[in-house]
Amino acid sequence: MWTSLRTAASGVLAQQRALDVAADNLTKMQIPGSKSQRVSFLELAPELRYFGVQDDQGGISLEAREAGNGVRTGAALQNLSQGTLMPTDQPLDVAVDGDGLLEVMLPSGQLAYTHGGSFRMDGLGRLVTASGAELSPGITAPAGTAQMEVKPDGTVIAVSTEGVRQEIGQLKLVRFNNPEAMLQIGQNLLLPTGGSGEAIQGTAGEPGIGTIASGMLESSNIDPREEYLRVVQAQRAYELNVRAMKTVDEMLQSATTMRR
Amino acid sequence: MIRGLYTAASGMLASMRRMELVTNNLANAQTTGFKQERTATSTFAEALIMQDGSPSPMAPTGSRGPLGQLGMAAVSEDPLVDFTQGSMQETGRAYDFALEGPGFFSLQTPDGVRYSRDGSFTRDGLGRLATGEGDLVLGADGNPIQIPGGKMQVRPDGTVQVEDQDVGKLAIVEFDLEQPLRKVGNNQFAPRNDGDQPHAAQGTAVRQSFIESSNVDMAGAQTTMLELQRAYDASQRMIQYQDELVGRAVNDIARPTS
Repeated sequence: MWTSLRTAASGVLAQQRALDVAADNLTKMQIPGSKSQRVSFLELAPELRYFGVQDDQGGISLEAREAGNGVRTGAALQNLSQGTLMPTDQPLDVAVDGDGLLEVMLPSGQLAYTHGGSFRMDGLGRLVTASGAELSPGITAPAGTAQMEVKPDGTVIAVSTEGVRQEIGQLKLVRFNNPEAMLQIGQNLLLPTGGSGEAIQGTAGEPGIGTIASGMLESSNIDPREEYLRVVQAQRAYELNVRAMKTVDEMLQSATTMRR
Repeated sequence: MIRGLYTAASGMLASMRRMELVTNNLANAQTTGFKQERTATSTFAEALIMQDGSPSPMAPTGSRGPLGQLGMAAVSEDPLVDFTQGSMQETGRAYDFALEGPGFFSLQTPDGVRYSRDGSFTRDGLGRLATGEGDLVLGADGNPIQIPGGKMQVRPDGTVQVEDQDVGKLAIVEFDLEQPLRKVGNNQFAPRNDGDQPHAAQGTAVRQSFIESSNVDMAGAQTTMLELQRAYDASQRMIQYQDELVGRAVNDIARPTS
């Protein structure tokens, strides 16, 4: 009986986690490049428990049978499908159409990766992300640069105040064997983990890497209707498991009040 | 008289056991590829009860002698996994696969090859098709499937293509009816009898960007839950009546009239 209580509680907890993830998706819906996630539910391994079963002689004997233990949540699954590319008219807005990622260096010196975003020129003329992380390898504009542009092959052009265009570097793209396992650290930045594998160098335009789109931002692939559906499903399943807990509790109460 | 007490207690026990299955089904109402378990409460009226321990004067020494017929309120039967197809849910995620038909995906786990209907896969750090828990998805040739970068597609027959090039074929297998399966956790199954080998599935189609929902019948589970609670309460009350009767027998019948 206690087992049933624990089993139902595992369902409540798992649905709670599903609601959390759906809510998280809804809050990230407006962030360019954000990806939808969902919880994976995994049935717990069954345990041997004794059931009274009918034996060959027409009697009842206790036999060990596997009985379920409930559910747990596993790794969150990410939907990495491409979001729509939205034109922004900002020459330093960069999106990647494909799996490729841009490499940036965090102020700590650690390498992180991003699927695009709004870049800008900082006070030292370096091309940095919105949060100030420098591209790796770094691209620095010469003195007197009015603005920078990125071309689809990743070439970065500096336009001087006199209108002279000069090629000053190229964005490089890398990919990972399992980008889903990368750690999201906010501001659209990802860190590699043991599960994602090492960065694999590539060139824009290669299959599996994709192309660079400038003046574009990738919209989120989170669909609010989908998330709403998930919230409703999780809520119903949550309620059902709470009801199961309540029923088990009432049964336990019935057993404990047997002797009045 | 005491025998009736046991009858009622067996009813409570059976309800309790069945409740364990119902709560497990409900906890897995959203688990991808989950297959619900059912038990029936057998309604056979009487079961022969046997004497435990000391040999009966009626039977040879050491054997268990019959005590008589016990009317069983309820006996939970062997739980059965219900392999009915769950509904297909579209996810838009490229690494979600659902099976339409009786087949299973084959997975390489630390405990050996396991079988699953949960096709929400991903890749591992080496680019091999794997589950979120790191178990490798096996191809028809018995090896993991390596996915290079690029657009991955799966055809209904299980052929995996990246950028329109074949990179492997999923091992979709099925078991015969006389090869029972047991659940081993993580939405996986293993043959109950170790020697049982599956064969290539016939008529099972793979659908990309879909998952198979849990086949738990939520309404049915609620009804069963109510029914079990009532049965449990009824048995509980029976025990109370039996107890009162025994109490009367002990305290009242034998009371000398003064």
